[in-house]
Amino acid sequence: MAHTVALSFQPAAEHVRTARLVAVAVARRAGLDEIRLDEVRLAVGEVCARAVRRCQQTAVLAPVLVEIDDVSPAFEVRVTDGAALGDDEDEQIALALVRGLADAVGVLDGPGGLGGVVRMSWDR
Amino acid sequence: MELSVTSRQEGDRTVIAVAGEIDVYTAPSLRERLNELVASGHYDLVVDMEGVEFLDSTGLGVLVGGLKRVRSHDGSLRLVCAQEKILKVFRITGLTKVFPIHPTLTEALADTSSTPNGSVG
Repeated sequence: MAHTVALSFQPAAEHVRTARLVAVAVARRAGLDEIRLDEVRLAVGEVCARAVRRCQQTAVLAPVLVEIDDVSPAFEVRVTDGAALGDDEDEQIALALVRGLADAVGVLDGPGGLGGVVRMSWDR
Repeated sequence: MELSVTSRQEGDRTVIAVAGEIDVYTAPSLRERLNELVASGHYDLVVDMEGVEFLDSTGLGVLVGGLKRVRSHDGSLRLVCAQEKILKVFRITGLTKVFPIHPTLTEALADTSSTPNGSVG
């Protein structure tokens, strides 16, 4: 995925807020309205929190990567973690919430295996 | 911004005023405070969320956990929230059926109906 802004952070809960702030700043600059900004804020927070929990459960220290693309027709955010955990059941509520917030959500394989990449997009 | 959690007694209700962002980082401190209150015999709680700027599913989990605890003592947990962006999180997750949500603290304190109109399993 082409990205215009990328951020990586150590998998710790205190950095999730930073990721939210960055994603919302890019989305605001891309012209998304306030309702969509709230959706981006919550969805990116949920997915990054999920990534941190996955890394902590599997003692993975590799950083979580957040890539944001504001050039494509849709505004896209992709979050990658290195956990080898599969698409675990504990995270289904967080993902269900994200599916209600973004226009499209895909869960893909990451470097550690299934479920390590979540891709979200919002139509403009 | 850190999460601020302060509690005070209003008659037989305990009002917990929460301000800031409730997320994966800060939610444990809210959970701890709710657990302390229930452990010290406070079973009728009103969580005032007017100062809350952000709420994620971790925060929802803490509130649902608090509700389960007070209900096991025949207590109640009411929420005060009029902010659309926060209400939206409860609506998307169906939790508006589980929590009594009031637009003002005055209305929450005046509500004496028994609260279990939904199940948290």
